[in-house]
Amino acid sequence: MAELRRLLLSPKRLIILLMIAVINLTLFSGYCRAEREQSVSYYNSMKMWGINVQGEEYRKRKDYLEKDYYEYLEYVQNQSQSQSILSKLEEKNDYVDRNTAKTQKDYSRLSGITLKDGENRGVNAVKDYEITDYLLLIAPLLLVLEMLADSDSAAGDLTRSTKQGRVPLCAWRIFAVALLSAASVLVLYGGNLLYTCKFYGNPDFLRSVQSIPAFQVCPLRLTVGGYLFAAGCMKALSLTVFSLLIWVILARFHTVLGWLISGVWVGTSFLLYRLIVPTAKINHLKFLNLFAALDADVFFTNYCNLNWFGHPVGFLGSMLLFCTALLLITAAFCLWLIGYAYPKKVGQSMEALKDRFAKFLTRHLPVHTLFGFEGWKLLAAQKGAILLLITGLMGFSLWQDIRVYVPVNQVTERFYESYSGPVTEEHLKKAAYIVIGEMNSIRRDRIALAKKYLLLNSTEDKAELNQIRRDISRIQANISTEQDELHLYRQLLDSMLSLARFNRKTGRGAWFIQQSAYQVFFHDSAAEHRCCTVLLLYLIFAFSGISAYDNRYDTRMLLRSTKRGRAGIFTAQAIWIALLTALVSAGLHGVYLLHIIQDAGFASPEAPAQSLQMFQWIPFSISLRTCIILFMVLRFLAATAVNAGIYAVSRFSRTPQKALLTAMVIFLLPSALAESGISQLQVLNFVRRLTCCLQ
Amino acid sequence: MANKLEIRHLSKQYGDFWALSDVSFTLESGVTGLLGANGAGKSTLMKLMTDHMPRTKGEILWNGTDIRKMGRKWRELVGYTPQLQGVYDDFTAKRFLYYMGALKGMKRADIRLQTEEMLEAVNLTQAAHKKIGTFSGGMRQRVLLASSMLGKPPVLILDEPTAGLDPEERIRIRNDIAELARDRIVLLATHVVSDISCIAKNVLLIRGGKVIAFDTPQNMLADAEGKIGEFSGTYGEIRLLQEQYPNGEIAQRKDCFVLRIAENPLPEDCTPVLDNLTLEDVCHLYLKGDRQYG
Repeated sequence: MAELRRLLLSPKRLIILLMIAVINLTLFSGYCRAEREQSVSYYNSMKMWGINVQGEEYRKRKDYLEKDYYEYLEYVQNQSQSQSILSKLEEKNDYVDRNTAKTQKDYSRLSGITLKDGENRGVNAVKDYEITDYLLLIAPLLLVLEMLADSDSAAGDLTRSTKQGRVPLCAWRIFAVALLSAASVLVLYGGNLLYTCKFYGNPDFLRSVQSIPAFQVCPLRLTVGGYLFAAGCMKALSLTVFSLLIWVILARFHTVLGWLISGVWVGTSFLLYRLIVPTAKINHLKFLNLFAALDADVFFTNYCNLNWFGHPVGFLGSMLLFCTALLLITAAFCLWLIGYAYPKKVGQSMEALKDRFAKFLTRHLPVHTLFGFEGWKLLAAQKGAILLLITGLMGFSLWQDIRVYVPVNQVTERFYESYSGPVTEEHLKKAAYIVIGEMNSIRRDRIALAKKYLLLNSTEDKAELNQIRRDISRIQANISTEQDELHLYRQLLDSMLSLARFNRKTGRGAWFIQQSAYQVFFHDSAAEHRCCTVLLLYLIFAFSGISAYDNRYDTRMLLRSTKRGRAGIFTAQAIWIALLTALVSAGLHGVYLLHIIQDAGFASPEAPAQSLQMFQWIPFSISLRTCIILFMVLRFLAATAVNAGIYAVSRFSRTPQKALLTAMVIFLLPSALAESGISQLQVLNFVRRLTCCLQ
Repeated sequence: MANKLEIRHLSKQYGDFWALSDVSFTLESGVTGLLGANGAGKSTLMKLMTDHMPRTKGEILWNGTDIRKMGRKWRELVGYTPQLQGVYDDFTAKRFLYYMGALKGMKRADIRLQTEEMLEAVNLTQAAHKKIGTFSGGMRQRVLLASSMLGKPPVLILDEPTAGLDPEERIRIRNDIAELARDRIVLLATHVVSDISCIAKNVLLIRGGKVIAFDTPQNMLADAEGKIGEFSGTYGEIRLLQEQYPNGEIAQRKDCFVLRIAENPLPEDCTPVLDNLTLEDVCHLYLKGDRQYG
């Protein structure tokens, strides 16, 4: 029990869990806000084309709840019956028969189910957000690594020499891993759920999970709350098994071989889960996989039976059996190997190989410059290269997630095509003629409408009456469209006139251009915040240890006694920070910039910046392209300013871990809280500072 | 002209406490042993000599030029081994020496050549590819010593360079230092007095931030003659006497116990030790009352 308290309730463990929760909340809240923002822009953009997406979605949802789902259940039953008849006619296939019968039986449990509409977005967001699943792994794996280091140290020898220091201690440690896994799920997954309740509203936990269209094929009679609980339990179970397996492997092959085996196993499991399609013959490898269990949702949003020697077994049942068996076996192995057996190092031949390789490398070790050595310290010794890779993967994930919708329609597009460019008298006249022409057209239509109404009163022939009524409807629709167009044309003409007045007043040559993409780029957006959250996390994790690394090994005195150990080191470190920041900043901001270019496109980038109202205060000539470049430079400078703070924290911290924690508390925590809705902390929102965007 | 490092009226104050007070001495080529109790001011003196901290008063002159004015040029001339084993666990021994070479502003070819030489000198060639994190305390100390000798600086400031070394290694390192000190200034702080007695040209004794002796070991030993004496008797008698001379050293002889004391003048009933005087006795004499010197 004391071991449990020592491992789980230590300030270090609680801080790690809290920090992971803060990172998760920051990333997840950014995801939710960006999703909502993208939906709104999508709706608006579709609205401009006359498509009411919201109405369409509502109708589809209503149809699903009232009709489509029940038809689906009926279809499954009928399909099963037809399949059964077919298989009787064709060559006998026991598995198909059994599978058909099982499918029918599984779905028959759902007869009489009632569906209820509710807020689905929150549950969908919790289900779809994958980063949380990977963050869940951190705390239990860190605990396992800590326990391994503990066993290796003199303290390990000491504990093993005591009465309770072997099997009982190991049992408590296994229990600690399980509890920490459950706590991680509760804090991270639960945190996501709470956030969505606040952000989207109550999802109504008591309605059937099938009320959410994504769970249409789920054959279990579960409520939304029941599903969330079951998925959480499955995640905790898989997390425990995952951590124990890593523990056993590293304890058994306590060398580079252990890491190699763990890496190959984790990589292979991940690829099998990702690459195998659910209907493949080898789908056992996809579903009986710890990554599938960690995802958990796959078992509730798919229906699949696995073929076990000709017998169909539900993939959820198989998975539960697999996980439980694996848990028992791994726990027993842990008890035997770590608690009972004498510590023995396996894989020494691998160590000898590693030693030979290290000797070879050392023989050919290049003599770097001080700059090169500082780079090695940052990227290799402090694992900066791995961090760069992770940031790259997160950037790629953002690239896939982010979509930019610019609200434009045919009328405005046509107008811009004709008149974008410098505002000339000729363009103004032509634009005014268009407005006048539109007004005349409306007037003509109104006269025509009035005439039709007169005809309607004077005609008695039924066929003619019908024709007149059709004409009236057509003319009314025409007038409505023309009025909308007139409204748009007037707005466009007004902005042309405003630019012309500005040009006359200041002598600057502001252009009339399509501004939507620029508005999206220069104004605050949740998507850009997501990019900046990843950037801030990179800066904190990459640079908080840069100077604390020297403090940790007490090398500062030694370094400072050398010729280049003062300004030389600082300069080299500063250049590395600037280079890496420029790279990551350009990459992450570039994700959003490229999306804008790809999805919307910047019109006339050579136009003067004053063409946009927000830049009309600029007193000198500058193009919009230069503005974009300067804006990116400004973002780099903002990141550099944050780096200065992180460097100061690092300089005065005793160890990289303490520096990381302090930097997270100073830079990430207020940002996370502000991003998740506490507006009082906006002033300390460094994510917002990194965007440099206008409100 | 031989190099000369002069310390003139050097003082360092922390708040109301004077860690060093009006310290003056001159170092020339050869090993100078620095002895003093914990808190005597040895580390402060070394930090001032490596320009790690500002001094309150006084001067440190290298061939007549203040080291502060020299800045980087002074640090180029100094090889330093700190007391704390400040080395990166993630570096291999060779990479660490390369890094130190780069920090010292050496040319790449020189770094490569001298690293091989120094690894050989400190007997670490076979472990050059291993991470320092896997090294014993003695091996780490040897890495530091090698790093201080890189660039062959004319001044070596070594803070307990033989701490944690086994006897064989200690002798080897001591010989290396003696060899190096033939044409350079070496200031060696240690608590192993035998290290100094074999190779030191001069010994500097510090107490309470002040220099209490700076002389050759031979002169110090001559000065101690007649001030070191021994009582002999049963264990019980010796224990009683030790209450009177708490800094006395008890030793067991063939048929009795002795208590060796350093007093000026010696008590009448104490037998003076006339031969086999050691530098340890000198330290007892000068630094008695201090809990630990070195």
